[in-house]
Amino acid sequence: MSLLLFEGPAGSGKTTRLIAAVRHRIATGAPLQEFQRVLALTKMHGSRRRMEAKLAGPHGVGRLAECMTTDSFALGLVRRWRGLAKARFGQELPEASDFHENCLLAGRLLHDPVVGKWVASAYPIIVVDELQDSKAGQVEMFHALAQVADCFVAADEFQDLSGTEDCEAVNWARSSGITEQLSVIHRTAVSGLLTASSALRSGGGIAAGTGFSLLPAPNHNVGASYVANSLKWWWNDSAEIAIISPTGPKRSTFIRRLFERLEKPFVNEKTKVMSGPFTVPWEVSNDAADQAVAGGLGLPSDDGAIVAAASIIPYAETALPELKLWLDHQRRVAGRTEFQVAEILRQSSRLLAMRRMFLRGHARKVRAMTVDQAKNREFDSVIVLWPVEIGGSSEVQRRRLYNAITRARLRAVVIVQDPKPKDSRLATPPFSGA
Amino acid sequence: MRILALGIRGFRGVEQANIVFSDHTAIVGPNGAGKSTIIDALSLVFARSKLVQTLTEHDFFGSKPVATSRILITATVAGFKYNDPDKCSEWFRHGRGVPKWWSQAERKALAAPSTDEDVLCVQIGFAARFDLEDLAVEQVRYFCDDDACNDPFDEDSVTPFPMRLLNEIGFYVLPARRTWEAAVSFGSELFRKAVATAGGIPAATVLAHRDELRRPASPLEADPDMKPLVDSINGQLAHLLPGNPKFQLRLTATDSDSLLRALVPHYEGDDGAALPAGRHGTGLLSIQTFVLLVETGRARRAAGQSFILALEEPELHVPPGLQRRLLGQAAAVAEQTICTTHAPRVAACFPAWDVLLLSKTKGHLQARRLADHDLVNARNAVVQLFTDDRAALIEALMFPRIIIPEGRTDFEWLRHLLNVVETGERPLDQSVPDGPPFGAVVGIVPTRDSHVVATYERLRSLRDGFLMLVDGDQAGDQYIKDLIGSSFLPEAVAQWPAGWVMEDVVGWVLRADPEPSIAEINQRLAREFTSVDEILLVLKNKDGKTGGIKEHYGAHEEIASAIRRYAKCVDRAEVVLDSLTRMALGTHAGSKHIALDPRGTVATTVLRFVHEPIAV
Repeated sequence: MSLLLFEGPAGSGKTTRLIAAVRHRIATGAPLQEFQRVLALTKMHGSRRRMEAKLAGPHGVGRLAECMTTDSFALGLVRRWRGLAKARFGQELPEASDFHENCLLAGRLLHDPVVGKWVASAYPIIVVDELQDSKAGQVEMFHALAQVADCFVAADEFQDLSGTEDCEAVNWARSSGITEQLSVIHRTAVSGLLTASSALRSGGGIAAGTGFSLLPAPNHNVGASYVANSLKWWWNDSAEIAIISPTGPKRSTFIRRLFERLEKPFVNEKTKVMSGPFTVPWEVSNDAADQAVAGGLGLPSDDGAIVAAASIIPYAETALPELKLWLDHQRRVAGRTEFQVAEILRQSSRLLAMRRMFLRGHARKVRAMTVDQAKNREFDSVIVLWPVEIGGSSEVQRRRLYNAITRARLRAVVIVQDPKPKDSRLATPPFSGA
Repeated sequence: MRILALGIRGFRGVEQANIVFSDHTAIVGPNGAGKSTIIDALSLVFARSKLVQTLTEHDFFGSKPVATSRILITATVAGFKYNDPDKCSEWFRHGRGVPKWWSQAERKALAAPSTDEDVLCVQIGFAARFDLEDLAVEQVRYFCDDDACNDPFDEDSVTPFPMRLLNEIGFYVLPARRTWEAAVSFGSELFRKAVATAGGIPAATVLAHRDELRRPASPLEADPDMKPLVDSINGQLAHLLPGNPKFQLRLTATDSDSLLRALVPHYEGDDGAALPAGRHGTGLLSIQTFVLLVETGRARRAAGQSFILALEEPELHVPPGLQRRLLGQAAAVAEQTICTTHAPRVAACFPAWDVLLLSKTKGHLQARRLADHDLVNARNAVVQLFTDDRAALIEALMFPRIIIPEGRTDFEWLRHLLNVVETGERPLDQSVPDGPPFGAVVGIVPTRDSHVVATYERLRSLRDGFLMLVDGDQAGDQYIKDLIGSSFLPEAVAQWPAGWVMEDVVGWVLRADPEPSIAEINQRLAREFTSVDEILLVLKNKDGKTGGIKEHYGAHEEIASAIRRYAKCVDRAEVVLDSLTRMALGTHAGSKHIALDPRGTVATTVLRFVHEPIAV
């Protein structure tokens, strides 16, 4: 079976080419039987939904696609083949929450030709986008799958934020199949953005240009007014505006105070024109959301404590109705009325994850998010906040900044927290050359 | 395709069972052993829909299901065209079954093949649970991946089994209860299936009939006797309702479905008269369903499809002469047959290694093969038990307790004594002994050539409840010594009084009323015996040339017939049998005719029949 890799910078149309290649394969390769499907594996649920939408869209493959996160796929596989895992490797089923172990075991199982063909029987075509984001253990899975199915993958090594020197997954793909390099950026034609992103890739210094600005902000008030102005100027010609930062308000005082200030009106001293206030919601990370819900359940703080279902249900009805259903199900099917707090927390996370699988985010004009949350998405206008609390090597920082500004179609501004204007941060990486 | 094995957990009287089937299997057991439970379990997995609809609490082991109680049935199925899961993607692929491999040696399904002979198989599971709030039974049919399957109701991770695939397996049942007339009519699902497989309903003919029924040549409403009433009705209707409806009488509701349902099967006799099926004798009726099934099977096999037939106790409806032929036909048309029976004759139609003996202890159902293929290594006399004497052996094995006597003659005499007791001439108001009768509790093995020990050795792997019965002579003492000293410890051994052999027991019975019985024997055998001792001499003599009748079974019959006529002899025979029953059941304490023998050990009880009652 075959492997086709599409490599290229952000916005070069990898996903589009990927899907086009799959269509070509369906049309010209061995015809699919009526039960066969295209399997698309993604890292997270958010990206899974987006991939699903693209595959089902007008230039996609319609009802032929099935999208799963790689973790769910591994989990399901390991569960069904636990008999073989035990017989062959002497291995017991890992905990459902131990994704790493499950992926490792799935990789080992897939190398058995019976298992590999069992998957390929239903999924003769496999698609993986953002291959550079694959976690440890998943490369083995893809390697095994490429032996039995036609695989189409897309990657951009420069977008690997893990901090490791080499991206194992991308190296594997390059050596195992045919690579098609994409170089033309389709997402934007704005020269300032193109120059800046290309400079970041090559390690050179970046400078302001058409559609791209770099603004040092000595304090949060100044930063907030820059943000307010940007929002006001861009409001009318942007369907979506993203405020992207490597860290959130919890880890950076600058960010927190900036957003607090943003919620109060601004008055231009000269013209006396008002702008704002702006209430910009943060896209909450999954963990934070889980914790928020768990907090509303009225659970004791000790994970090992035992609670009665009856005591949780009133809270669950408001905080997490799915949990109430799960508790009812446990009572009817397994006769359980008492649970350990740790298990309730685990189930809450699982239920929230399932909810995320099916829920579409509501569109809001302006949203704040982290660089990770922004991955593989695009917005008309982007405001990047660069607080002092940024760790990692200059290479990693360059990649983060690259990731952030390449989300933009029309324009981007980077607001850099610069408390000491004399030793300006703009003279240091990632803004300067290596 | 074939059903290799069936696992049952928590269903009806069976808490746990694992049954391995052959190509053609007979399952034998007394009533209540679990025969119909096995067939019903198969029916649940392979979706005989009516059965599934009616599951209630009583179908759960213990009849009192709690939230976690489960009925779990797993069937292992093989017989795929290729031994390669990749070529059977309807069954084996992501979202369907996980390939397993059947090991003939280990008699179970493995996750990976261990030898080249291992056969590709799949495991289909059926599970049911009782919801304590809805008071309803929830069930699911799924691909079973592992013995340690999680509860199929607890997780969303169960892989459902598509009903379409069940049709590939083609499992059919000839049930014990048959609604005879309905079987061959369109009200019967089986008949519809048979017609469909055979080529479909003759649509054109049916439609022609339907049209005729709509416009009959002489409609009833036009009959001169009916016409006045009909006209009056129509007149009134015209006043009351718009549209002028006209009254008509038609046979059936004049649509093809009513027509088909109204068809009643008839059978035409040689004399040309056709009678509805219900008026024919049972011989014809009970064969109807079977014939339909065979036809369905033939059509399926012709179309390259699989056909598996389960027959429930065919002896209930099929006369003995036809039983073997019916089984033969079933085996010819089906890839696999599974026959449950409590008739030894039916079971004897199968070779010993295809007969499964059922026994149930505290919910654990065991199905043991009567013999393995290594039968040929056994001593000849024992082998014959499983070949020529199969029917008698199986009959014996179905009793709660079993006596292994020394030889064929003992076997025959015990049966004669039983006959005497059951049919003997005695006054009706005779008081009966306490305890169950011999004929209901004890089976007798037709031991050959005195191989008591070897016979016990082979039979003990099948079940327990054996009582060895040996003569009161030196040979008998030696048997007792051998048995006690052996590695397999029998529960109990019984011995006749010192110096007695079986014939002496008969002698004792005769001595209850010697004069008339001797006279009767003389008359029947055309002899001139003057005493019981003389009769015994002749009875113990094997040599026919010198007048011995030890193995002259015809003469034994006559002697038994003679004994039957004299109440005192019959009473004594009953004492013998009653003592044997107690010895077999272990309820000998306090019996006047049974003594505990000092040679007994902790493991093995040795008992002695005492003809002179001991002071209790």
